[in-house]
Amino acid sequence: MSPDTPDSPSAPNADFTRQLPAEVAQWEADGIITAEQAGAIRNRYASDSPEAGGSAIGNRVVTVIAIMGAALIGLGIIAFIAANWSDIPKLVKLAMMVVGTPAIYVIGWFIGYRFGYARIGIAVILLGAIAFGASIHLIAQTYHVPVNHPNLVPLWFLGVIPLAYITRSRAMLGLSIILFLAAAGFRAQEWAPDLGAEETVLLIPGALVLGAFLFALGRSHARFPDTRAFARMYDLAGLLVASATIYLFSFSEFRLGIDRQASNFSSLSVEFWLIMGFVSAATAGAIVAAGWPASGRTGQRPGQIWWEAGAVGSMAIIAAVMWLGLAFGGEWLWWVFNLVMLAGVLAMIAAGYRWNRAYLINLAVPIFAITLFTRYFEFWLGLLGQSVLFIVAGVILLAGGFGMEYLRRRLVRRIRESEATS
Amino acid sequence: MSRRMTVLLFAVVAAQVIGLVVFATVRQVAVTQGREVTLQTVPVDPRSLLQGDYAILDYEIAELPNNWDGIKIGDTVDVVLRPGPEVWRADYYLLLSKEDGASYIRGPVHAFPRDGDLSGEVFIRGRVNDRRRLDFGIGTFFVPEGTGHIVERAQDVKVVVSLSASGNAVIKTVLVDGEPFDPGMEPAR
Repeated sequence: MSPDTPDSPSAPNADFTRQLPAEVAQWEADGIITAEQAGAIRNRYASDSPEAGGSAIGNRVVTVIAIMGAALIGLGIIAFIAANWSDIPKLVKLAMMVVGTPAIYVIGWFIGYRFGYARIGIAVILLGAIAFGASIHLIAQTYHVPVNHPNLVPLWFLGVIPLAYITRSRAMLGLSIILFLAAAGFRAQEWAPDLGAEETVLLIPGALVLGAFLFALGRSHARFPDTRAFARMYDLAGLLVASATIYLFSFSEFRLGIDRQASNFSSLSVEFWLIMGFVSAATAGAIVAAGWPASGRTGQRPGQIWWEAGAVGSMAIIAAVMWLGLAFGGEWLWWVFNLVMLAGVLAMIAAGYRWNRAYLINLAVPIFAITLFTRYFEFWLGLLGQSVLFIVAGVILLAGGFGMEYLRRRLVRRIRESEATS
Repeated sequence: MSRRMTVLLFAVVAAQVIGLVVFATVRQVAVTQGREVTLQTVPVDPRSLLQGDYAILDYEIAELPNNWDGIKIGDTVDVVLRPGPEVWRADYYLLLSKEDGASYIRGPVHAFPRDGDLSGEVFIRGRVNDRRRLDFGIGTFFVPEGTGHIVERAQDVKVVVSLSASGNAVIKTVLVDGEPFDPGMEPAR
């Protein structure tokens, strides 16, 4: 899959161009290709060659600027709707959206796939996806349906996710993932209709299940050449969601603030448990797909799938422990989830190092720093004077930040070096 | 982009348009086909990032009877309405039983037994929120930017809603001091 470059199948993705020099060196060393052929391949995929789709940096800048443009116009459309102009009759407003949204898609298609400006075309199609969401909210506004209605964002998500796969755009996938998580948030009011605000903590382990699902999707996407460009985004989204839920459970205040909720479990709706069951089955299916040995699947390294399956299984167990903790309470909650947080961070760093994935380290180090700093404030807030607390915190931030950045750079450099020499 | 992908792209776009049209049609039918009733309300005036200015409408009939024990957040309640001189008022409240799917009376405003049969009655369906008031799904009235104060400062606000046979409500208009809401109207002092 070529990210955001739908009309240039010869333009390689970032993973390909990064791994190619090492692969070519290995082919040359193994006698598969001659030195001249190796040179020709390297020249063909040099970042500024036409075959590579022009300058890599230039392409990225064009993509970013085009997407920013689409986002700004999208914000303008949303602001237009929010203004709720009374001068425009209801039917005219609806017609503008029903005609305007497909018109944006058609314009994007022409720019991207007929005139050959792929990145701009994708950005315009992304604008169409934003306009679709704006249209849903405009109709809702016209009929005084509140913005937190549980079906609006799920409808938006269902309309956008197919476009991510059709256009093969990571920006579109990013919007889809955001909408997926937002849709789950809005549906939550239906999942716990009998519960007050405090008891909605029962839903948090469900977010961890969704995080595991996204991570498993990332791993299964990594196995197929056509979907590999989406893998990292799914991975990051899944790990971020999982980390955020575990982080919430790592607070001692959180543990003290919740009463035992066992009696409230029956209040969670059937829809919630059905979705949890479906998502769990889909997660298991995605992991099986990730490890299924067959031709045409790439990116698998020996033993990697077992670690990935272990990571997903661990997330499922942690979700179950969260629900048990909410049901029965206990002092152990705080310790368990802080240890889980630490174990998760170490696992991400180890996996990043073992399988040359710098983004895992770039994610793990800030999560560790945030957790460490949170625990510092949690422990010392009542014991030290405020001035001492802030001074010490500042020193820890500066020194810790330096140390973390040093560690992160060192690990990422080692990964790059190992990529280049392997 | 291959021909197959192009077809898929435009199929998804067509599905989006159909979704928008169906959504609008369902709401429009609810507005035009339902039974029209006027309800008393008290508004406040916040703002939504996505949808702009709106007034939150808190209905007189949303208040549950005082002596109603055992009612929980999330319970579904039907409010049977009777026409008054200006607005429709709650006659009695029915809690929909989750166990057997039947309706039965709890804490009626006018205490007289009924068998839960609502045929021929005008009623509105609500759900108990965390403030122990009923949410009918008509708590939001969107207004043009900068005009929320007209509703907020009004002495008397009534809402004309359209009720379906199953008790679902859609707002038709808001009456501000007896007049249909108009963004150009002068706010009360």
